Amino acid sequence: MTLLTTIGIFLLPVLSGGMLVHLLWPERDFKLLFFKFFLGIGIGLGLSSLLYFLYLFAFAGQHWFVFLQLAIFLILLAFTIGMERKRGKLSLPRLNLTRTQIILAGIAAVVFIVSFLGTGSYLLRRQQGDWDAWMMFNRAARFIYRDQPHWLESFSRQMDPIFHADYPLLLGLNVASGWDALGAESAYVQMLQSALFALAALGILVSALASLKSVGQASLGLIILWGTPTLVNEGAREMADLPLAFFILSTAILIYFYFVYKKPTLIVLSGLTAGLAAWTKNEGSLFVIGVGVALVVAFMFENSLEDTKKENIVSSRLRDLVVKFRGNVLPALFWYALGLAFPFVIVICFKLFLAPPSDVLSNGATRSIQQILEIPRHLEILQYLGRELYYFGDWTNWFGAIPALFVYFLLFRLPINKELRPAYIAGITMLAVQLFGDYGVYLITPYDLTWHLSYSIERIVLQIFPVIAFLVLAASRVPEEIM
Amino acid sequence: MIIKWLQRVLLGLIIVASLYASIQNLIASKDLGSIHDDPVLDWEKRFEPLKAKLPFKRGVVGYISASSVPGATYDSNNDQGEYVLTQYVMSPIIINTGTNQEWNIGNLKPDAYKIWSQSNHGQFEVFQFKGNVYLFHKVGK
Repeated sequence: MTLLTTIGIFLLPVLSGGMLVHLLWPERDFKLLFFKFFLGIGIGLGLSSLLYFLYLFAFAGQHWFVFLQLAIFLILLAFTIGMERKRGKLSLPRLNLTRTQIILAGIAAVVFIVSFLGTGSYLLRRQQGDWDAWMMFNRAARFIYRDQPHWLESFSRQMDPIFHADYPLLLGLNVASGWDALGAESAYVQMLQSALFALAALGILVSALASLKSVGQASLGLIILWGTPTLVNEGAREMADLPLAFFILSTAILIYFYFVYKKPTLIVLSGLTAGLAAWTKNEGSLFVIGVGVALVVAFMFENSLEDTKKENIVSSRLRDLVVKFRGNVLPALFWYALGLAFPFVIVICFKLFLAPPSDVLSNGATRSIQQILEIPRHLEILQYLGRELYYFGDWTNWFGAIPALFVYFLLFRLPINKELRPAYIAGITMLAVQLFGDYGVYLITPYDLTWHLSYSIERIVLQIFPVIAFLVLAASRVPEEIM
Repeated sequence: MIIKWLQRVLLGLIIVASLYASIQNLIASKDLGSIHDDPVLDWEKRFEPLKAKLPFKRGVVGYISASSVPGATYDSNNDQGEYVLTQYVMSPIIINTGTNQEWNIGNLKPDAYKIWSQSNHGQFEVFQFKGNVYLFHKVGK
């Protein structure tokens, strides 16, 4: 009974998220409807958590947040029905699969079922999640739920820094609001949230590839992503790395879709998902900057708005850059900021006024500079990072998922369409900024470097792995062509 | 033609590696223990009587384990894990290491408790619970 009620409680934000995405981007292609549904899972959960945060300031100790969620759901439903009525019937597409597609989809289904059972098995054996879940996210949920009138005590400076009371609250608040709606603590809430993010991350990758490439490529995406035990287990550990990976992947795909459909709403949505990444984990704030940089670089590469005249080459190049910056980059940054504003303003206020100082920055400037200048630290980080990139995913003892993707790209790569080149530039730039930022954090960490690296490097690579898989598969020939 | 075969081999390799890894992972999940054993729930039950004894529901309490007792033996991994679990089950009470608070938790095996009590005799009123859990109430100066 509790499980069914919990599912019902999660349906409200999940479906609201899907409808919000559909209202903003009313594309009706069937594969895109699936994409929007899976995107809506993360966006719905993220926005619901932000709303609960605001709600607590005024109504902590009262228990009617679920009715607010219901009201929002009904309003969005009314708008969606109104919009869809005007547009006429939605016709179901005919599914004409080739033999290769049927085989690949069948294998993908087997991988999905086996890994889904793996997630279920892990969740049932670790109902309260793993170490970081007790330490941060579920602990924060307990502080907020158990003493709601004094929920701000969750961010007490008296708390031992190892419990990371400065961490953003997306997961913790959703768990607390789920318990609030149930009227009791139930592990089903955090278990379901964890599984939902895993499913959503898989869903957006598969539906995006199905829409952009083919059913075969989408099946291969599923085989690679859900055939990666590290990722599957992470979906059951109730930690923030897979939700963060979901938001990073969403942002990259939305920017890619922008260069396909040229709808500014997609950049707005990418701003929203980047902002929600910052509300999920501290690395998400770094990602917000990375996406900003990626948009600047990508839109500078977008086709010129006007042809360069054959006058003085230097002045014409400069003029071209200025024109591109004004005509392409500034509007893109404006749409990005529009989507980013709501979640990121809350993240900034949380960090400035509520959260205790972050332990990562506790070394001070002098000690940090000393550490940055230590060559052995650089070598150790590079060694760990290189090893993780090579073996990531627990595939085999000889190679991991990333080298397999790399070789796949070498053998299957396609000449990249000029129109889509900025999408790849954006994706690669955001990955590079993210990795560079993480590298910087390891350099200045106040903890023992070896311990810090061995404790977290796998999850750092996990956060970006789905984007690597997406970019490689989007830029490659589909398997249907070689069978 | 060679490229096409290489592509097919790679595709097959990726599929086999993925299937093998996911099946191995499903089998390995059994090593996490029985579905019916929940170490967190056990820890929760262990600290329930202590929580009931505390005169407040919110605030700060101290915490010591064998690692805080000079001369006591302990496993550093378990020690850290038990500290994290204790904070988790005691929420929304905040736990600080040491015995500087008025109320303090002792998570001590008998040998560690013996050493600790010898050097802190008379400073605390001691409440003992099942499972090597203690509550120390600081006696007035």
